[in-house]
Amino acid sequence: MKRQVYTFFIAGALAVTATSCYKELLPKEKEHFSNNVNFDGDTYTANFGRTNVFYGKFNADNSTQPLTFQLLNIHRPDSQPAPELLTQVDTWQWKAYYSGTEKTIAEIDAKRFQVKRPVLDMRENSGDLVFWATDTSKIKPGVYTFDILVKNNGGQKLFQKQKLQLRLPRPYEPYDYDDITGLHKKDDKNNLIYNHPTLEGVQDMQNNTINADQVNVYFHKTGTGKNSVTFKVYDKDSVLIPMSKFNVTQWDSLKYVSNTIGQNVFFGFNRKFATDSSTVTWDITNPYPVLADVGINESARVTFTYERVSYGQRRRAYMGYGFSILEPGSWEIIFKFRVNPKFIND
Amino acid sequence: MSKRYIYRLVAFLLLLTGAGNAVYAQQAVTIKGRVVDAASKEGIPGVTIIDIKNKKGLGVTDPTGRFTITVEPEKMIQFRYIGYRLETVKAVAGAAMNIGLVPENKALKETVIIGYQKRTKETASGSAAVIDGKALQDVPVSNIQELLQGKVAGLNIQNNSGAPGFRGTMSVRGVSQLDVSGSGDNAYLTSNNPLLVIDNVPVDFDGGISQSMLQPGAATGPLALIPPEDVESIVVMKDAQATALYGSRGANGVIVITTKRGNSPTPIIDITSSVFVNLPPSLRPTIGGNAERRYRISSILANSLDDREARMKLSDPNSQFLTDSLNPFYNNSTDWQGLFYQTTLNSNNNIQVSGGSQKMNYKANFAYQKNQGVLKNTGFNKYSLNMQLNMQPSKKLRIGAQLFSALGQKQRGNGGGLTNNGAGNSFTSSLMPGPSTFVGNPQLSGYENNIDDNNTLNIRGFVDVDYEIINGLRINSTTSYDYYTDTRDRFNQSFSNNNVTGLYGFVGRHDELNTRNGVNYSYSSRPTDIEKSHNIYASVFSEINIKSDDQHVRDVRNGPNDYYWGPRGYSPRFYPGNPWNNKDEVNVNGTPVSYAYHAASWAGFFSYNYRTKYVLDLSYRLDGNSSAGINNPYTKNPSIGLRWNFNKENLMRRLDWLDYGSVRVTYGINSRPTSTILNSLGAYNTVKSYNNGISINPNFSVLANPNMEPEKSSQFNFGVDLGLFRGRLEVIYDTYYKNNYNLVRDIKLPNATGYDKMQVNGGAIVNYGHELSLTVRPVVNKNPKGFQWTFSVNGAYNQGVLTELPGGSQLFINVDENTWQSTALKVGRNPQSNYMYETVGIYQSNDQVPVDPIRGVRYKAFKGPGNQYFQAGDPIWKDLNGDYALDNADYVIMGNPEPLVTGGLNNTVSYQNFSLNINCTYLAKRSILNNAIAARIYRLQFPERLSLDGGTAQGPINLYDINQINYWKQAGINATHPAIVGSFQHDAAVAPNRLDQSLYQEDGSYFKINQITLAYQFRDFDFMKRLKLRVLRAYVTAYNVGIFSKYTGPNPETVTSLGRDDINGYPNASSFTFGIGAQF
Repeated sequence: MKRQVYTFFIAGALAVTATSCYKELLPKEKEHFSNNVNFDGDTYTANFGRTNVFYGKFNADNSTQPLTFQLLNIHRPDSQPAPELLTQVDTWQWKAYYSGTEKTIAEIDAKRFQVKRPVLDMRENSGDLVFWATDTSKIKPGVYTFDILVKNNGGQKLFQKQKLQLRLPRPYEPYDYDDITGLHKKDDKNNLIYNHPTLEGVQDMQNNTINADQVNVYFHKTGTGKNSVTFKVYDKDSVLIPMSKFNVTQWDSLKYVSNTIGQNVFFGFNRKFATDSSTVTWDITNPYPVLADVGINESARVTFTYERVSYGQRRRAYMGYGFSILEPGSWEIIFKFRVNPKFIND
Repeated sequence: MSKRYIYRLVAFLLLLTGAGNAVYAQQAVTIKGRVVDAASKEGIPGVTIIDIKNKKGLGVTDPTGRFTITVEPEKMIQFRYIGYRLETVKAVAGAAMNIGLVPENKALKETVIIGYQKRTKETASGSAAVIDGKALQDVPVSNIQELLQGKVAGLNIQNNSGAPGFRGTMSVRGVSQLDVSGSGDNAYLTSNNPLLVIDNVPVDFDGGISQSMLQPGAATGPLALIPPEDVESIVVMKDAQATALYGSRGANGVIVITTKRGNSPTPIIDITSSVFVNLPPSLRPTIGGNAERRYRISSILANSLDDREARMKLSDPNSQFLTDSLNPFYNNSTDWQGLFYQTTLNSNNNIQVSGGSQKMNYKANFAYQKNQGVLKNTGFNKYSLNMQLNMQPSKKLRIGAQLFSALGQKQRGNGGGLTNNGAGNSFTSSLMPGPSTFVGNPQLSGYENNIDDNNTLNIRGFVDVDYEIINGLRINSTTSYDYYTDTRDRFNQSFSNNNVTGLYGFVGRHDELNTRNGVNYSYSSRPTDIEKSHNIYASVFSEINIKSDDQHVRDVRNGPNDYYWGPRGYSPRFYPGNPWNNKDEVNVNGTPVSYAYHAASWAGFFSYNYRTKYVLDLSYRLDGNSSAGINNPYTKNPSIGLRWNFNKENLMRRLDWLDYGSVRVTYGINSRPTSTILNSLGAYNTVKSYNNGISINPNFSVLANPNMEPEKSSQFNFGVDLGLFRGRLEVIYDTYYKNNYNLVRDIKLPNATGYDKMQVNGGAIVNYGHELSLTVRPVVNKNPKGFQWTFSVNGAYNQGVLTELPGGSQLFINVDENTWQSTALKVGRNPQSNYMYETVGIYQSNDQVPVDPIRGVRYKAFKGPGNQYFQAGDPIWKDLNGDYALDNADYVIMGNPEPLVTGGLNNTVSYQNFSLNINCTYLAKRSILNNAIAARIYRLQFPERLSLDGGTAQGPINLYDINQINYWKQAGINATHPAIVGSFQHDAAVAPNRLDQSLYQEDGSYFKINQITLAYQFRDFDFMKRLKLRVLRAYVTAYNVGIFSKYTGPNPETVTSLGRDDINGYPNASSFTFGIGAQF
């Protein structure tokens, strides 16, 4: 009789154990690692002297986040290991966002801070690659190779022989020199290529429209003391055209559109005219515009406007130019007219 | 009716034992007496008195239990009444006979039909729950499925459409499918419907309906056509042993409905009649009239980028309704919601005539219900006639026949789909004028004037023959035929149909022939006392099932005017695929469904028990069907079950608090044919002009898979039944582990194969859980008129886990390109999860937005170019990969649209002649996406428009009372919702109120009071005797009384099976009923 009691309890106990084992029978949730994770392209082209960001190139294909990214087997063009790409350099990073409404350069600098990072840097979880600003004294230009190991607990994938093409610095944009050879760019007819401003309504002395390619733009670095940009306009005879000729330019509200932050931003800081008003100088940040190297098609634009009466008709004309300056120092931007523009009334 | 079968056997055995007695023909005498309940000494009305030797009815007792019969003395007479043990006595002349009937232990002696076999519950090892037909009587619903909600642990019913004649979703022990049909708010899981068996005839759960959201036909299924008054019992079979013999369609569980039978020598006429009022649900608070105009205009002025944009928006001709406020046409405050809804008065009537004896009994049930919906021009009328005749010409031969015919007439207003959605999105701006002779709202006019006749005609007949060849060995044959005609005639006036009239005709025919022939044998080593013998029951049968379905649609538009319904015919302009007129693929002319299906099965069943104490059940079924892959035509469905009635052990017999107790263990495999012939055999098209001739080419959309197998489920079940303290507590506990495997999934093929996809067996879902039903009788009064209280509660905990996807994949994302609320199928998680952004708060200021240290800009809402930066008032979405941009990588798998716990409560109290029954349902832990609110908030980005056409959350822009939402207005205020509109430009770029975020994923737990019924039983009134009324009962019922939930949307139940709350859903109406039931 007692046996029956035991049987009863044993049966009950077995049943309870059996039901608590359900979970043991089931597959555990694993992290998903898709076979289709990939990078958009395997070549990264970077220039010295500026921060190069390669952004949004990785497709996780719904793999479980966070994924971790690791740089491996970094090699020089001659297949030797390249530890110099992992040396720590001083980098400027942001602690508050750039709003475009900052009044002084100091205010902008206060939003940045300096940290040491490896020159070739990878964001740990997003796969964004950064080649920080450095110079050619430590690292030689050329095509370096490296592997990227992407993994989570569900799997991993090694992207081999990714190419990092390091090119010469581009001190300003648009840059009219080739950043591989260092030579002035040429068109297919072997003529040198120059930068040109945007012209609208600018006429020569015969009231013919002056085309943009009749005005060249030159960048000229004059010093390394202060970061500034000075604009000079020369006529055909290399005589300075004073800034006062651009008589309706609204100097106090010169703004450009920052493509990255989607706002109108005041151009430069501390505007100064030469005493004869032949040039105009602004203090600028480096790089300029502020997000020149990390933003999306970011360029600062300046527009000089004038007005004249032509046969009883008021004509408004302007000369504009979009650019960015990446190398610190005092820069001159020179507009050289190959045909003299007309500022006087008819 | 199975009970009678046993009674009959017992009576027969008694007859055999008493056959040797000499019988003297004597003068008949009149005997008077009274039949009472042995315990309460209360008279029992309606007890049948039978002369057992001659098998002749002698009479029935009156309402007080008294009887007068004329019988020869010394005859053996038997008193029988449902729920009581049979009492056989010898007729004695002279003295008044006082008979006390002893109540039977119902829970165990109940017979259930499992696998077409009648079994007493005591010897059945499978898990089957019985719902007494009496529990389904007092509410006139349009679909009996509604009433099963909360009655059985593990049967999850969600009445997610209140449209009369439609039905909600039903699943037994969790979801067993992975496919989703439809998209956006109309995304539904493909059905998990159990197999439906009505009077031993397997019928398609949805009748003539094919599983498609864009339901072309009338969408009326068999459960909507059966009158609840005709239901004797409903058995829900959950485990593999119980469902094994149903073979190829039992994998989702089986629901067996048994209709009433005649069981009285004197004819009985039952009349049930009720009137009921359907009340619309409470309407959503909206802002109307001047308040709406002010809100819209101030929103335009405040949120435009500059004055120019504001002027552009206000001067747009489409925003005239805002600016032209002096124009009386636009100077309204129309309550659109109120115009769509109505209160209706309806009636439900049922007459049942039954009677007969053992040798021949009959029943006819006629039902009529008129049920007008709370939305205008919707409703369901049904008529049904169910006739049954059973004959037993000799002891060996039994013949039963039944003919069921029903007509369901449905009006659908302007709605469509499987749930008749449509109205919720119809409420336009309150500034627009209400309907009049000259102006109208297309949607409302659709509800008022559209003609949409949906008729479903269903005829189902069966013949059942059973013959005993030798003692214990019977052969039987059952043949049934089920036929549906579904027609839909719709005429849309041009005003409600994009300025062209629409004439739509649908004809569908569905028929199913089912025949089952078998032999069964029962043996008992001591037939007189099965409690002391070896008992064997064995049967073998074969089943043939032939189904065909044809549906035809003709769709003609652009008729001459709104009053001419024609011309009918095939429209050359609107044929599917016409590039000029079918750009949105709305043309449906043609034959959407046409198939024939054949299945043949063989099954064997063996049951052995020793002293009804140890029970062993074995069954095996082989199924072949025409849609399986040709390499795997047959599926095998074996099952085994064990049961131990431990209360019959000597040790336990001494425990007087233990009424009964048993342990059940079962395991078995079921299958479900899911593949179609197109996928298993491939399809071929004729192609013109290939090599200068007509040729037959494969259809490259689907590659044939000849190895396709049916979907299967294997299930382990462990159960305990306990009856304690003399009926005061009954406990049924079940736990199960159910593996649904071989689930059919599409796999896309590489384009080098030339084919788009192939269907393979690859998915698997495991459902495991626990089910508990408790019935407590805290107060049991010996006097039936005294205070009685029965309380029962049931609950089921079900956890579903996806265990496999084809090709060893871990994840599948079902992208929803409408709302972007995609679903993720991930191995190791619940089968369906939401795949959305996780909202963790609201940014109080721009400085709170994370800054990319490398790029110096804020976290933004788009990975590509542009400046979609987050700002104060935007939701904080987790940036999982740390790239300071929101993109697909930041989607999180979250939520579970399947409820974790479901169940119900039932509380019955009676005192004197009154009884009160309260019925409740609950559900816990379910994720609902509150698109009802989300879509409306989303559309507030466009205050200058009347409606948003195309894209996410399209629909009319009406103003929900946004003050009820705690949205962000300024820094420092703790808000739960983002700013309603940041600025138009910002909202267009960032979409802070996008639908695919966890902000709108809410817990859908609810507690619902389904039904409150107060009934009065007329007893011992003189007028009843005068009117020859046997029973008279009056009752008042409130149905859908209330739902309690933290959910902020309209109703946590009227959501799709994927948990999307569709603003368009048809609301569940409350109803109040007054009814009378009488028996003559």
